[in-house]
Amino acid sequence: MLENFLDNIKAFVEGFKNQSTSAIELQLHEMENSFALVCFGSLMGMPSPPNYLGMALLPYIEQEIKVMIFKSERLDDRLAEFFDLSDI
Amino acid sequence: MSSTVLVIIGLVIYVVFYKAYGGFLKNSIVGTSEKEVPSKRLFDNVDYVPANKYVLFGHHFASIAGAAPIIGPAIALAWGWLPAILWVWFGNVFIGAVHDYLSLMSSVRYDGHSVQWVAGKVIKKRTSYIFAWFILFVLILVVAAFGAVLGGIFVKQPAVPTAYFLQIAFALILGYIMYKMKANFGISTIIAIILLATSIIVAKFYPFHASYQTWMIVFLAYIIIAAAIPVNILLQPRDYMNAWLLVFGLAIGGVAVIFAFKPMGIPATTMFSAPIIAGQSTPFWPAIPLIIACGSLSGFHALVASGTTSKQLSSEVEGLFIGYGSMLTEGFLSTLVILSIGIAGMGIVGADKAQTLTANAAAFGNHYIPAMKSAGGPVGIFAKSYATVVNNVLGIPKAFMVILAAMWVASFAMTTLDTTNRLARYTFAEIFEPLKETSKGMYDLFTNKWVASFIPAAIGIGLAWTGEWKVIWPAFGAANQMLASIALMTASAWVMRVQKKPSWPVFIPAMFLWVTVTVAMIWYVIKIIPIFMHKSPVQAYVLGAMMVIMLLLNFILVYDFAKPDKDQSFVEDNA
Amino acid sequence: MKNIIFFLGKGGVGKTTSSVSLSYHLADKGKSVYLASIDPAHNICDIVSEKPFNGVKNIYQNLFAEEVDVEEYLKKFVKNTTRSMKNTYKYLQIINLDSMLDVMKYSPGMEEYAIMYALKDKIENNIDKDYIIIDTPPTGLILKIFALPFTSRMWIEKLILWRKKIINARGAVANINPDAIDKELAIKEEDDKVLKELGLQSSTVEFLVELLQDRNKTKTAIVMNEDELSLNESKRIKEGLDYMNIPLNLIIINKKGMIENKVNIENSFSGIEKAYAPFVKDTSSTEHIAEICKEWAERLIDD
Ligand SMILES: Nc1ncnc2c1ncn2[C@@H]1O[C@H](COP(=O)(O)OP(=O)(O)OP(=O)(O)O)[C@@H](O)[C@H]1O
Ligand SMILES: [Mg+2]
Repeated sequence: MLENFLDNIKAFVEGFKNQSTSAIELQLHEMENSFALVCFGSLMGMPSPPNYLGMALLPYIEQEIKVMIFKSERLDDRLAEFFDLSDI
Repeated sequence: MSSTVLVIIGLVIYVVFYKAYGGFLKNSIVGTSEKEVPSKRLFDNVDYVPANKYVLFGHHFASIAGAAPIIGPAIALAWGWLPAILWVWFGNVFIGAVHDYLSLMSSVRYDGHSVQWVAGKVIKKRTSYIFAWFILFVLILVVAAFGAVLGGIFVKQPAVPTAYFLQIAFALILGYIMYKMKANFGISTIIAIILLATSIIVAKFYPFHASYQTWMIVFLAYIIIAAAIPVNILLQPRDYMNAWLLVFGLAIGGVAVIFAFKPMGIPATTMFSAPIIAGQSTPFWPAIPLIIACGSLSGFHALVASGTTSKQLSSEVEGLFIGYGSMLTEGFLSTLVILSIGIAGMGIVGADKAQTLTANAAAFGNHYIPAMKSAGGPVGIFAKSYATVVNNVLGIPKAFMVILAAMWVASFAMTTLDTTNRLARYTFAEIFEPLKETSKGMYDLFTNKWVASFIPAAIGIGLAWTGEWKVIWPAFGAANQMLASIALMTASAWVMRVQKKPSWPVFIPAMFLWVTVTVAMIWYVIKIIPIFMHKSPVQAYVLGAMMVIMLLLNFILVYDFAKPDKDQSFVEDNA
Repeated sequence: MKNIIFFLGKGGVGKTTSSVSLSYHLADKGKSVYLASIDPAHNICDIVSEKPFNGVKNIYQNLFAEEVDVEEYLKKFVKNTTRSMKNTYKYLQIINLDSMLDVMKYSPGMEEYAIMYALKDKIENNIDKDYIIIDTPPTGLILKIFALPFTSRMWIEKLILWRKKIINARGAVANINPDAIDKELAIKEEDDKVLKELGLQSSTVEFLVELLQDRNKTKTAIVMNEDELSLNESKRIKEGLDYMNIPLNLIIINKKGMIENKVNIENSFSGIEKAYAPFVKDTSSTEHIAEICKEWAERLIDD
């Protein structure tokens, strides 16, 4: 009973934490996504830094590349993801 | 009837339907899938992350609960409180909650793809394109509707803009403290609450007077500027403050209404056709869904449910709690709005007006909207009634409560203004995609960040410029319900063609809504647009054009629904 | 180091000969000189009539010459990247990663990068010499090499800013919601490997940009002959240098009198000093070589 109550309180606090970071997380993942995109932009014909720079960073941007790949899989279906930003 | 009794009735209905009807939907329509939920199967710690049930409920609810479920019911009271509350309850359990729940679950079964994408799979490719158009109309019209409603309250309650802009300034400070200096969460939260309280208290002593048109220009500038700022600067900290406003507002209001033990001070029913939209007699059916949209059912929820919620659902059984349950919670918010205006009585609009209003039911129906207008529109009347009820029960000074309630709505509405602008910008690019091949120059122009930002904002604010929220609001309602009807059709196509389960619980609401909204829109185009034309020809043409396009798309939609692509295989996509 | 002197020009005009000539001249004056060729097609050894050599060689008094092994720099870079890739993407060890990544060196721009890096390295290692003299590859390549630090600098600055935003956002999320983010990601700026790497890259390009634009240190000479082609190419070099704000000190008109239909260069390169170098009979003799720079050697150096 008490445990249950404490769990609920915890979930309530977690909910508020989530409420205070969800947009930033979304922004963060898009920044990671585009960081990787820029580093390898030349592969896609985008203006990009000299190739060697991307290569020099390559070993350290596993996360960014991962995010880029996840995001690119859903390129045709991104609109709805942003709807929880608004409060209609 | 006492508000307390009504709250109890409402809660009983919600609990019974959640258990019985929700359970039925869960077992007989949705069923179970041997596949694991996307959040686990496709876990990537970026988009696909299983979330705690309550946390996800909170996130989902905070995303769907905004200003609209407060504004709509306040207007609908012209028909009397009974039809309004019945539409909220009826719409909730049979349409809105079904819609949210099934959008969520079909998205879960389609690897977390959005309802827009699923529509393209289970109906026709172009359905997903039509979806984008409806989304754009919703986004433009929500700017118009919220702009007009906010303008009204900003003029009538000059403390509200002060509170509002203080909140923006404080949000910037909070953002700096929370995300740049990385202060402790507890401390940040205390600061957030203190800042919120400060903005309300200070606003009372420093009202800010400006004309309606001035506010429209400010909104336009605000929309374009705010939509260009990174989210961590303003949007996120303000969102966090909004969450507290929502919790405070709901908790204080809920307690006050439940413990008020007061009878309803307004008529249960007035007349079937009360003068609501543009002063014309507005028949309850089919117009009601245009007035009460979000509190009863809302198409935009389908996007939230299938955009992020479906990717974080940690088990299929929790879908009912989150999808169906949060819609009922939003309905409960609308119920509180109706009850709070009901029990506060019409004394809040001034003794002289109250006398005319309370003469008899017909008089109330005839004079409610003008009285509301002089009280600052739907937000004004809600804020005043809310303050009165809270003051009676909890003794908190009325003046502050009015500002709190109005700021609650304003803050949600303004968040919507700049986020919808961001969304519209992107929707523009989707809609103009076909131009890419044929007319590169046009495509580049329309997808230019600033052009795409300016056009929807300017159309929205241009429509709001007339100050006729009574005309604009129903148009937004219509677009939003259209979105709901396409989402419901998608859900029923999924149930019929993929699930191969009895589809009537989705199909009947889908058709009911489609017919109702289509008839309502035709009525609106024939009856309201010409009246509006006398007052504001330019706006009337724009609004009329949007309505006609939506109607056309609506017919294409139902045609496609009946004759889907033969080559669509309807199989679940595992890509 | 007093000066670093670059000899630029179209292929075959006499860049290598001129740089060797100046090097001997300075060595004769008792200066210590480091002469390097960063042209992948080296020929210092031909001019100084030596057998091809590796590494730095003391060829005359205090004159040290080196034909820089660009390929080795390229390999080193590819190897380092490969190694750190292996550490990061451990699972890729299953397949033959090394050979896969070897293709990186064929990626466009890699040669310029390797030469740019080599240049910085060699300058730093020989900073104790009185003069550093650089014989450069033909126009197209050297302009790209010179441009590289400038374009890279802009990108590096942007990437650093961007990176800091990412790290800050991660920190902000981790501060409130530690579970929402991997621990390895929620780190301080000073622990971020990407920023560290960008910092290293930044120090290389900053070093070169500062040096190249430093009028007290860097001297450049365009070597040309009196023909149309080399004149046009020299003009292109000047434009390139101007664009990057790299000083141009001297135009050397080499092999004077050898060309029949000589072009008029009086009207070109206004404001830049011009000097003539005679056509000598035998470029393999040290005495003859010394003649070449007689007229212009002192104009190109600060004592
Ligand atoms: N002043 C000169 N008098 C006589 N011969 C010269 C003179 N300058 C250069 N040469 C000859 O011209 C040829 C090309 O000279 P050198 O190799 O120095 O040119 P370079 O510009 O370095 O060419 P590359 O672009 O191929 O490196 C050589 O055979 C060299 O002996
Ligand atoms: Mg040479």
